[in-house]
Amino acid sequence: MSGGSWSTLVRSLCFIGLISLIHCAYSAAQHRSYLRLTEQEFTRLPADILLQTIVSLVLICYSAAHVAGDFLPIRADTQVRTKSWDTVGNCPSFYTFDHRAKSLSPYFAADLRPQ
Amino acid sequence: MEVKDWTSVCFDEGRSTLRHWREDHVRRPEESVELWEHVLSRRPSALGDELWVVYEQVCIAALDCARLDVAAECMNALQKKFPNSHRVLKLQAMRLEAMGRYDDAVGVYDTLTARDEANPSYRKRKVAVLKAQGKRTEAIRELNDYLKKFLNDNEAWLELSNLYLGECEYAKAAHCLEELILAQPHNSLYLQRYADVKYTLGGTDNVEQAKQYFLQAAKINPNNMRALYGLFFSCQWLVQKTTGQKRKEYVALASWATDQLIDRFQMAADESSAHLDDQVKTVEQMFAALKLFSSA
Repeated sequence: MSGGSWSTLVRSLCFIGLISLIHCAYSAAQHRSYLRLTEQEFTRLPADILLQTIVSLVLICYSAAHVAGDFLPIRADTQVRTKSWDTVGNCPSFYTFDHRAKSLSPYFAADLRPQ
Repeated sequence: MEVKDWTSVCFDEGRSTLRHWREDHVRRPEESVELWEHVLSRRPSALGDELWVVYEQVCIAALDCARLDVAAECMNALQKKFPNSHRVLKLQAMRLEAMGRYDDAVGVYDTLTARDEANPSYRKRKVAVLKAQGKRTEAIRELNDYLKKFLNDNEAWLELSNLYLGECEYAKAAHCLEELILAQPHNSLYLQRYADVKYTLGGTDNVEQAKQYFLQAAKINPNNMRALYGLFFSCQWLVQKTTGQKRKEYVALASWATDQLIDRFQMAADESSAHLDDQVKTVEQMFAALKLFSSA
């Protein structure tokens, strides 16, 4: 499908659908005022207005989905993506302090003396 | 990791950085203590209720870089605020561990477990004590007992897999990583680590599985370079063991991995103007060698 003409087609379909839906609303309002003037009961809208409403709804849904662009897969890991194993591989409840940083202590040299 | 001077950041930035490190379990103890000492301790009341969690975080960070003075200061403040708290007692036991008094620490953990059976953290600390003393087999046994009671503790499974890897028990480590993958199937790092272990185990079945997991990890996170390299090397290994149609599939996969690697290198080179031509050339040569071998 050629991108430019497809997108204009889809946009115009969406526009037509919106106009059609507004037209349905207007004709439904007109129908009700006609019934009120001729003092008839209002039971249901005429079939052609119903049909036009449903068709324009489907048209709008379809064309709006295409206007919005391609579907993307649902990513459950958007936050985890930017993390490295340095953070994800940490187990904070199991931290031990028995590592080289002990040498940073000011009392470290004292520990080295033979007991 | 860029080197930053944390002593001159503003209060809000320091506070949000510490919160980010706390939530993501980042282990940067010296910088945490620096942030506390130079930035946050000037206005502790501005932290509000977060102050006590920050005290705990800074206390553990201080124990991690042998700053027992800072640790003592934090613990005194916490003790004054929460006099009969088990959590503060646990911190004091951790301080005993840092000083090397393991038997005293284990005694405190036993008392705490007796008082509060349902809290798993005291049992985990006992396993950490065994680990620190170098008694890895006992630590493994204790951790297995713990996992029989608390089955869905992801951290414990990860720790057990690391302990097994230390003992070169790759099959058991792979089983632990499988539990992790069950819990978080979209985490590409767990998938890639599992594939690493399977690749280390060796043998056609294991390397075939490793290839599948590397592929999945690379699909989920295209920036996972280790997964891409792993995919390439497993395909390379498998090409040597098979003939005919399968070989073509492996070469095609390896070619995809090579293209992805070169793309990433070129993207990184564009972003940071680094000279990554050598890496790109190496990857191209690896693939050329593979192609030559498979067509021979």
